[in-house]
Amino acid sequence: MNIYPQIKPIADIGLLIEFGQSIDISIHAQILAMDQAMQDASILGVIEMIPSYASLYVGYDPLIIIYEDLVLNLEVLISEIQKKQIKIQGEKNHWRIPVCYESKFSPDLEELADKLDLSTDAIVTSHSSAIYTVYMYGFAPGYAYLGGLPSKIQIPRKSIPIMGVKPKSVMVAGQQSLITTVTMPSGWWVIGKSGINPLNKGLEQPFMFGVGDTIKFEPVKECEFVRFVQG
Amino acid sequence: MAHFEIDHAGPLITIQDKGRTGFMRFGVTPSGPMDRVAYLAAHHALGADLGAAIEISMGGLSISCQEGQVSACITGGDFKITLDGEILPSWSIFTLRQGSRLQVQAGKWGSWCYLVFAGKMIVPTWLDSASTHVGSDLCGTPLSVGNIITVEDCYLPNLMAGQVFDPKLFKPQSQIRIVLGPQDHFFTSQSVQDLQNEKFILTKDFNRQGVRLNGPKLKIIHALDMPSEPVGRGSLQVPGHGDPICLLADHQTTGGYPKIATVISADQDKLSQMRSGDKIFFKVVSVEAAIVAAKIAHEVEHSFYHIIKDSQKSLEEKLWNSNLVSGIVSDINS
Repeated sequence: MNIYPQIKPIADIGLLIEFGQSIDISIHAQILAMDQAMQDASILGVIEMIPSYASLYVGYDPLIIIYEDLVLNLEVLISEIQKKQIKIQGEKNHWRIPVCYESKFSPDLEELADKLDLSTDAIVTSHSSAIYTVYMYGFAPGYAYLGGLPSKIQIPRKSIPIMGVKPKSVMVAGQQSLITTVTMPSGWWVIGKSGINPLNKGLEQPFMFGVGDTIKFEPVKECEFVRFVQG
Repeated sequence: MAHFEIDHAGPLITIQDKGRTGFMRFGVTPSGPMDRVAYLAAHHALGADLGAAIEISMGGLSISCQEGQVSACITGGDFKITLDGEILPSWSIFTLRQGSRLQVQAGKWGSWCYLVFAGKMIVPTWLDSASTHVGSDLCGTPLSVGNIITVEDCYLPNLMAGQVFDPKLFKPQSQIRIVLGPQDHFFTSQSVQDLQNEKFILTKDFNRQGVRLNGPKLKIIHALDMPSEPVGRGSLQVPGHGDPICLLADHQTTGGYPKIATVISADQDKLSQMRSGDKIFFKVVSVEAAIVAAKIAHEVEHSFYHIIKDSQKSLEEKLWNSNLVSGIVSDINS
């Protein structure tokens, strides 16, 4: 029995197309396909789409299109993406991000090693060998949630958030990893520092990653890192 | 050009314009005015192009004009406006000149009002908007004592100074309409009933991100682990403590708490203008009814902006217009 996708209204401002209830690459692939199909269809009155782990949010202007008509349009698109093998048309990028995991930049690595009963080296090797997928953005501008964290280094977030976590911190929590972009409180575990801030406020397209892009972290030494950051 | 220095600023006083639409997919909150109708009204009153306004909280704001002269309008709620010691009615147009001191304080009702200059405020922008997002500091920070505000292209419109509209029509009533979902099925049926039948009170946990409401605790049927999903303005999300939090202008773009319902767009700004301690009764409506309400609200707001533009005419006409709008509003509410 396939109960998904399900369309659920969010008052008169939006709706949610749920493709499942879990973090799963095949569910996410359907969301990317639907996002792409909607971008191509550019339905009048649709303001924006927000892809997430298991659902696609669609914001609309009720003065231009009513819910009922929007749902009819979406049902057509859903059946189209289901008939085709799901293929994402848009270009997805692969990024290699330099990360320094040395103690100066990884305040939580020792404690994490204790809790996971692993060496700090094993955590770094595990974190930097995985390929991550950008599942969604959330929490703060430019915060891209990366799925694909190896299960042996998965750990729930801290019970109390730490204030003032700095930009470019590389963090892990639950099934995810993330690079911070602005100073914010966070309960995630900081295990390194990225050489790049994925949000560049000055650019016309300030967000480096697209949802669906893949990422690999490349460990660098502090000396290389300093050189990298400087030049 | 006119310069103003801030002599006093309460918390959460920010620059706001139309907001940053279309970047939620990158985690960027839309921001924008807490009361969009009042923000637009001030611009219509001055005949000004839509631009940046100062959103004033109940903490109040005092500014003094150091140089230049410019007309301005304040709209939203029923705030106490004092210009050089003289008390002006709320929702007024006035002119600020070198040496003028303007004081805005919380009045009879309302949590937010808008100061709009007949000119162009010089403010930083990001992603085509000047709205400050409190927290990320990506486009300014809340205003504080000593900040200087500069207004360019100042003009003194040929308008009658004084009240542009009697705001009592906009005083929020306790009934707020909601559409259930998207996760109402996660809650006990008693909780879904309580949401519609019981009274909720706005708490002091009230800022631009959202307001926590207090009433019967809303209970989830079983512990759930839902992946984070996008959230919209007006969502009533319910964390473990069981109190619904209504998300407002600076809400985060995603969240992992279940949402029992969403406040309809026509009632969102009314809720934003309530104060902690005010009571709410939620009324469940269908999506179709919410869309009809949005269309009616749009029509009413437009005729209201029209009336405001015309408000520079005689007092007699103003009174007549005010009665006309009262008539429209009471027809809709009946």
